[in-house]
Amino acid sequence: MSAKRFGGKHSPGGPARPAAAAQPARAPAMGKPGGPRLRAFAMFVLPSPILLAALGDLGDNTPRAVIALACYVVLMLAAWLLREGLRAEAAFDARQIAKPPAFPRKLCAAILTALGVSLAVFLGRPWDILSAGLSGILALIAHISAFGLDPMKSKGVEAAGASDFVIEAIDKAEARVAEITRLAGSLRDREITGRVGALMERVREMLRLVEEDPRDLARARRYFTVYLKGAEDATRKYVGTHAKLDDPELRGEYLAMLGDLEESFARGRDKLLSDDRTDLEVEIEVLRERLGQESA
Amino acid sequence: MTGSWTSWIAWIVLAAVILVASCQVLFPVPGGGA
Repeated sequence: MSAKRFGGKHSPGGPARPAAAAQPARAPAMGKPGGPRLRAFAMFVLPSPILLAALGDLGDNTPRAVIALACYVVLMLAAWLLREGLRAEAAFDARQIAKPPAFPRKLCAAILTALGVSLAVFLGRPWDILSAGLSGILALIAHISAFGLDPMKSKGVEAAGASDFVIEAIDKAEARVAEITRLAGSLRDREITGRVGALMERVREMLRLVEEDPRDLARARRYFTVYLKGAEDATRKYVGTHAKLDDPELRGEYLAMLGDLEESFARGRDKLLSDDRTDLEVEIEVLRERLGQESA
Repeated sequence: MTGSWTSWIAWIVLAAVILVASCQVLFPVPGGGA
């Protein structure tokens, strides 16, 4: 939780903004390897004996096999929700302005784990309701202690004076960044993946500037809508075309477009830093026209 | 919270509870129950 106060960097005597902007842009990740990530992965593996029991009981005791399978599914669902919850939390932590996830995945994962453990104990020790209940409560407490709860409160919204409109714009831009990265990754082309990664880093740098000062959104919005949407559409079309025909010329044009976009985002970031509104508007218009000509 | 040693202990407890419960399904307690 490192929300920065709005106005601090722009107030007289505040710290210089370029120093903050020089920090490397961070992509949301699911924690450090070996930390919650590894422990969350173990949640998929630990219930394996239940699956073995279910498969073993299939012929002899079908009702028990069905209940064991249901128990296994509940624990797998809990493990999946936990993984998604940790991802959402990492994305929340990576941003300076963010709203809490709409669905409390980690809490639901803890409840489902408790349910799954209770059911498993009940299957192993038939009608021992006390043991089943106590095991479930212990699992619930241990799960919440081990992985924590979902972020519940908005972060940086009041401090930065960011409206829902700003948060929504950042959310959309983040979603586009994720989609472009996913599409580029599906091409399995190391150069394209690298170039797209560099472009997305520039985009995140601009996003961070907007998070630091939501007033910048007025100037940066077209970058996130026109350019980023253009990059998403172009990437989607290129992925679709690439599947049908492997055209080196098309690949070259796509790479050139990525390079142009990266340069324009880098310039946009610099312009935001220098607070030169007029130049940015003119450049946006020029580049917009150029993108329009290219897509025509 | 997830990086502290208490969370590791909690995770070990959780892993043990899940593993024991799972193994009890695989090897049920004969005549178990209150």
